[in-house]
Amino acid sequence: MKDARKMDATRFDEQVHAWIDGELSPDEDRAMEEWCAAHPEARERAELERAFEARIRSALLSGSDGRAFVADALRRTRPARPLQATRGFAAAASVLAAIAGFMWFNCVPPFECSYVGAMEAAATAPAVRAEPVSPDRMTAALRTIGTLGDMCERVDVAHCCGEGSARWRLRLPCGSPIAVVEGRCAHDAPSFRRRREAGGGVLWVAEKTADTIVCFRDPGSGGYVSLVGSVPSANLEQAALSLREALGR
Amino acid sequence: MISAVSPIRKPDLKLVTVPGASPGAAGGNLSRDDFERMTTELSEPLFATALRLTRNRADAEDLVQDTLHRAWRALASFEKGSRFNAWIFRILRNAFLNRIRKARLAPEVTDPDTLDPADRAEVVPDIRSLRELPDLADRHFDERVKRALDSVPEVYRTPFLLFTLADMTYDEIASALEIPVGTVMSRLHRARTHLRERLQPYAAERNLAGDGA
Repeated sequence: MKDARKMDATRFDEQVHAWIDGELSPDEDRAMEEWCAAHPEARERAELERAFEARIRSALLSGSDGRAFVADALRRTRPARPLQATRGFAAAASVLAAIAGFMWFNCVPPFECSYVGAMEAAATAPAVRAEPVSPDRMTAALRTIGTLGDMCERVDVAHCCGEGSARWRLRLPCGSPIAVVEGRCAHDAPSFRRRREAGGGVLWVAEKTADTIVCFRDPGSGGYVSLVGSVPSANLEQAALSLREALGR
Repeated sequence: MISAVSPIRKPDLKLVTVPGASPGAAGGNLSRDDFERMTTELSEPLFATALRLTRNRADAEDLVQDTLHRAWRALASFEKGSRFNAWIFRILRNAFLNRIRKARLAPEVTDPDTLDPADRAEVVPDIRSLRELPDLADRHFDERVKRALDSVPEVYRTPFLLFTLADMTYDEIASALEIPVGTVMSRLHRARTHLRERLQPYAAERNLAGDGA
């Protein structure tokens, strides 16, 4: 701004807008005020200028409906980032859920596999010890559902209380060979996906790519008995129900 | 008539600040709530400025929406001590320029020296001829003002809007438009002159109507 010490009408006209705009230095402000105090027409001019500027501003703000629109715009802006993050998270969660569902449905590890894997291993693992079938309760029951082999085998199955699980091999009336594994502990319960009430008890059924596994609780010992073989699940379930009934007698 | 000379800065404008920061805000501490509150306080001038820049409601809405998105994304760049008004209106103005470039619209004549050579003379507008205007409270006058401002060349209109509606100082406008402060002053002067020239016929009409009544 120019030097404020010497004020005249021309200078006042030059500075009046900067003055009402609040852009003059304190000294210049003072000089303008003094000039106005001594010149009523200058004071009127300044007030008219200010009133005119205020009226222009009010005219420009009228009818814009800006508050309503900006409020809407802010609402649209607000979820932009969080929603994108949420969407991204939801998409990732959906993919993970789909993968987990697929694994669960198909018994892909770690879903339902400890017991299933243990039973499959027990059905095929080399015997720790083999001995002639003895005429005990289990072998008597097994003979009611098929043709029993001549050896009972002891196998190591970590998930079924380790060594001591017993395995028999037999052939069902339909001719299909199966293995029957007797777990000796009650706490290693099956976690098979398919669990259904049948014949007054529960059957656990797992269908793997090659084998079907049907498991039930021995009503006599409290342990679990699993039938494992490449047999349609309906046949194996029927054999399991018969075996459980025989064991319960 | 007035009883005291205290014209100075527009008294009805709010200084928008962040709690705990004066008079601007700490950029890193500007929360979403602060941002929304301050933007809401500025909503009317923000939207009115967009309307007068674009001269079209649909474009103004797009411009404001674009501005808010840009501002929200750039929140971290809001510098401590700076004024929110100046910051967000600068974004508005840049978004407006960006839209013009994208739309490949031919910009208005930008060489002020070629626009109304007569304006270059330091003509002091006769405010007395417009003394009736501040008292006109009807919406016809409001529309006249808007139309009159729409006809003002963009190079003058933008600084005028940034000063009148955005409450920006000459320095802030100079910084936003990357022009010297003196140029801001001369463009403001020319915008006012244009505006008054275009409103003068209306004032004359009103005075005639008043005389005839």
